[in-house]
Amino acid sequence: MTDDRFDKLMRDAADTFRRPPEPPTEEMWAEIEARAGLESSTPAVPIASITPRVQARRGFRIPSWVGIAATLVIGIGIGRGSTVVGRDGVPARIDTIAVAELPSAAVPRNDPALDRPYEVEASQYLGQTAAQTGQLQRPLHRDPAALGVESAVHAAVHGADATCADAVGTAQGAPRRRAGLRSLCGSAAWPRPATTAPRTTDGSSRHFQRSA
Amino acid sequence: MSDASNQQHVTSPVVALQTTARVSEPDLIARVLSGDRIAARELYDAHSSRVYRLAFRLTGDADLAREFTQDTFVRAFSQLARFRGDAALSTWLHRITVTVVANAMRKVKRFRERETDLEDVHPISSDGAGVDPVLRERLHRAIEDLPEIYRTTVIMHDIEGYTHTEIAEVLGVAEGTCKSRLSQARAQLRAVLADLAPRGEYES
Repeated sequence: MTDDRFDKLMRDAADTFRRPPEPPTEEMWAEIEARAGLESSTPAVPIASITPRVQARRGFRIPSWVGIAATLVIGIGIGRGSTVVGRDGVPARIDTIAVAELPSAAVPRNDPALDRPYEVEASQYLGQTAAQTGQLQRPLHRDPAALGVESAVHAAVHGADATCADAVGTAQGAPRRRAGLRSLCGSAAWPRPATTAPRTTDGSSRHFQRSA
Repeated sequence: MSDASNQQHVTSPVVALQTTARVSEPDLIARVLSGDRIAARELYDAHSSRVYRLAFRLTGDADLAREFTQDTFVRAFSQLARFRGDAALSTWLHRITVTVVANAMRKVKRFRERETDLEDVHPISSDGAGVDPVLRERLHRAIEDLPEIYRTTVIMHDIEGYTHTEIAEVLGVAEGTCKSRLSQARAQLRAVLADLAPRGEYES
């Protein structure tokens, strides 16, 4: 009896609880069309009335890889042009290649500590930097007013070299590399790494002390 | 299904509701995905009435029901490519509806709590002859006061006539969970109605 009465109440609720009105179908559809972009996906006029030009424009679609390739080609072209051609249109001299030979020759290539590729690369880059700095110093010597700038550049370069050497010095065999780098820069003002030098007692340590 | 009957779907939403989901639903979806506006309208005609009914039952407000129905179809059209066809399209649409309503109703909950006069918002029809109006009003208020998971289950099962399987698919729960929720919801409703019922009638 209790269940019957409750079920009767629930059946009544199905008719009376929040009884929905007639849905505003057309109003809702207009809003849905606008929000879902269905209006633009289908032409409002028949296809036959569209001019051939519009049809051709719709049918012509550029594949995405063409755009990517074009961007790549343009980027490479701009990069090459900016490297080879100078500001005045004359091909720029690539001094770094010729200069790089000088410090590379000073690197003891038969040194077993420099047999790994990244060490050779690091030595070459630092050698190029030192050589370019030397070229930068020459015109500065001619201008007495720039002597202050020269000293500042000199200090900055050697300070940077020392920082690089300290960073490299955390790895094993650092004193040997430091000796090679020092010979590239031609500077005797290298800070003695108090933490790394006593750490090694083999030939690398002797090499460092001999160079110092 | 013949072409003639397929053409009837366009002009008769009721027929479309009964047949489109079984026969031409994948084709309809494919046409909608290809940008066919007429197919989108067919899909809308086939399902909008029930989506609106469900939204209205869950919200009790015509404006909110309209807004949530629109949200449901906008979201459905934008995500139709993700519909894998594991369940019926109607189940998928009703799941979106319940999600849209649940998320939005949390924001308007304060306004719902301020509504004090139930009759102003939900006019009671005169269809239920023989039912005590006070008892009916108490039941309606008790349904509205149910926790959301219970209220949704009661509305979908007892009010809208969904099966437990359908509710479980829409809500993403196990069928046993759905039955348990309905049982607990009914128990709470009985407890609310107990003091209004004749002595001993609603005491469980």
